[in-house]
Amino acid sequence: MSLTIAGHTFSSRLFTGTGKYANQEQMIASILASGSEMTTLSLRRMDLKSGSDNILKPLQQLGVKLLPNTSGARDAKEAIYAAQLAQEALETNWVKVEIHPDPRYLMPDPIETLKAVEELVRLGFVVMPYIHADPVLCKRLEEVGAQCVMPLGAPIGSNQGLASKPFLDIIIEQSNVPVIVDAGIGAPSHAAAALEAGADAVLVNTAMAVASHTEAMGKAFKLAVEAGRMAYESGTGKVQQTAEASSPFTEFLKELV
Amino acid sequence: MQLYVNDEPVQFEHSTLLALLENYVSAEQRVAVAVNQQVVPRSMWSECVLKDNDRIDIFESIAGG
Repeated sequence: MSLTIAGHTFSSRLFTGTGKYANQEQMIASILASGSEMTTLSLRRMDLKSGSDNILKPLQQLGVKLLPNTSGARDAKEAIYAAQLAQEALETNWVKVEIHPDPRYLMPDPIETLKAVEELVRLGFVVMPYIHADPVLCKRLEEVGAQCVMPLGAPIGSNQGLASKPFLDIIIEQSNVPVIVDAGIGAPSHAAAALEAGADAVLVNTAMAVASHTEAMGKAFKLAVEAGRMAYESGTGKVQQTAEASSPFTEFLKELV
Repeated sequence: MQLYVNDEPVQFEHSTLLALLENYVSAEQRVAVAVNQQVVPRSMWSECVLKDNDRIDIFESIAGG
């Protein structure tokens, strides 16, 4: 059941994010209930007047692996700078590369992402790129040494689910590195569907953070991801146009005549 | 000399990055610091000599997906 990325083994296939929670208590309770073993963080210039919001301590106490992202980076150069800063601030060589020059749709820039991943791999980072569900790009990223690919299901925070499903299926079929569906997952059923389809993991943030009951939603995602993976490993049946009886009722009907 | 810390103009008379950061960062705080957009590892703060008009940026972790 476990998933290994760059030699690190995860027993949970649910990765989480720390954004958008109303407060730290809800964030911690939700991540704890979800069973997630890795959660994302961002980096910002410190506000010298108001001081630090000190998010690290409770997360460290929780014992989850911290995955810095390069959110805010608009090109490869900025993403590499962000990764180097994150490495220093969080003492990790893991980084989720996300480069979105356009704040309206937050679409990841494929060209800058490929450039950044190539360079970060060369610098010794474990790179997890957030990208569009583009099967060609996924192969290119794999070739330059990305440790996994993180194609989107739908625009970030949109809760639209697996809008990119036909392309995710191709990516999953072709990939030699773990496929983590990131962005757009709005409900546990979306997460289950991704795992059933053979995705190695999902990354969920908004759907957990904005729920009315964040802790229960964390648990719901945990169960959905486990169910989806179990179904995948058990082998789901083939989809077909015609009906096929689940009970051998034909014999019984004959006896009635 | 004139320095800029997270874009704020600052007058500072000592020479090392470590001395400057003592005003902003506590010993246990996990931050990343760059001088003129070059990351300076914590172990090098005491050796990093600042010069006039250097731009020092201090970063910290915040919540994010």
